[in-house]
Amino acid sequence: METLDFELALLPQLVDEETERMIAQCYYWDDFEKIAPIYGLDLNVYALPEQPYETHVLERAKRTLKKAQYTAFKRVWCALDGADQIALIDYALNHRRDHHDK
Amino acid sequence: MTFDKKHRPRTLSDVIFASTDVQQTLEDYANNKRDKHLLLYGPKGTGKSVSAELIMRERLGSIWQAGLAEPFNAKAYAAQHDSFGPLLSQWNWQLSAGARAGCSIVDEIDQFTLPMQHKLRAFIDQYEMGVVIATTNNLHLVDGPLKDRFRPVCVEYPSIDQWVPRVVAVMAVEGIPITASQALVLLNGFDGSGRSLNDWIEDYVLRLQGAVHKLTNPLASGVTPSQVVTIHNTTEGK
Repeated sequence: METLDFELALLPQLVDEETERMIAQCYYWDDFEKIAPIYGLDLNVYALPEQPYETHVLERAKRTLKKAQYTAFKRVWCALDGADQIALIDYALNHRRDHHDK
Repeated sequence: MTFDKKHRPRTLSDVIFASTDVQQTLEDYANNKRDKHLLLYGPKGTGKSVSAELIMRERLGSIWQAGLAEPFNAKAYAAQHDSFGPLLSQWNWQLSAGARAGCSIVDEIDQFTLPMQHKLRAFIDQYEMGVVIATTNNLHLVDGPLKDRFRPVCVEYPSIDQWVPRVVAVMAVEGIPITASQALVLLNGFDGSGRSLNDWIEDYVLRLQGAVHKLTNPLASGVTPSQVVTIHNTTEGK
């Protein structure tokens, strides 16, 4: 568990505006599809993110962390189920927002 | 297509502002460099509403569609709604479409009652994922604390000289090339309102086009710059 805490402490630096944008886009997509005809919107113009934001976080980890850190983070991250990953991303984004507000 | 629609500004850079500082600030908003709520105030016909729409359009970029960006008129909005749910929905749809942040226009924000202005203040304090662009001719009717949530930008009438490039451009599109000094002559007596500029130019275009047919050369397809001044002199005081 200590290892888990330590590796996940990296998470706030692995979420960014793009992660936030991807989450926001997915969040209301189903409703958006329903209202599109009412507002005359052509949904073909838009596309949901090609990869889930859980994967986006992992890719960002690969790009920004040292190899050993990335390997450890990946091991812990991939052991979590999707719901936990999303909850942690949400937590990390809030942490990031609070940090930016100060 | 009507003359007015044909020559409506397509981008923010087409809009003429009296102040270059104002122009730069609004360009910053259009380029997503600023995120504080924006309040455009000033006399009617200075381009506040059209600027708001163009800023919103440029902020949304490739995801812009009319249905995602309908401006709200405060009076009409308040007649139908007593909360800002529809505004939040607009932001959510824009985010679903891939926007970095939501953006909504509230025209004539002073037309909201004070309780409604308080609700708007609470709304923008609660939700941070969008920007409100508001316009008003009556800044004094906007609640102080609500005003504080916005970046107020005063939009004033451009001078006659500042309208000249726009007149030259419009006349060129109409097939009537004129010089800046000739445009200045055409603007003699113009009151400076952007809303009436197209009407003003249209009058000249129609008179000039009509006059062309009366000129000695029946094959003339356009007017030369020197003819413009001649024709202006004959139509002065229209």
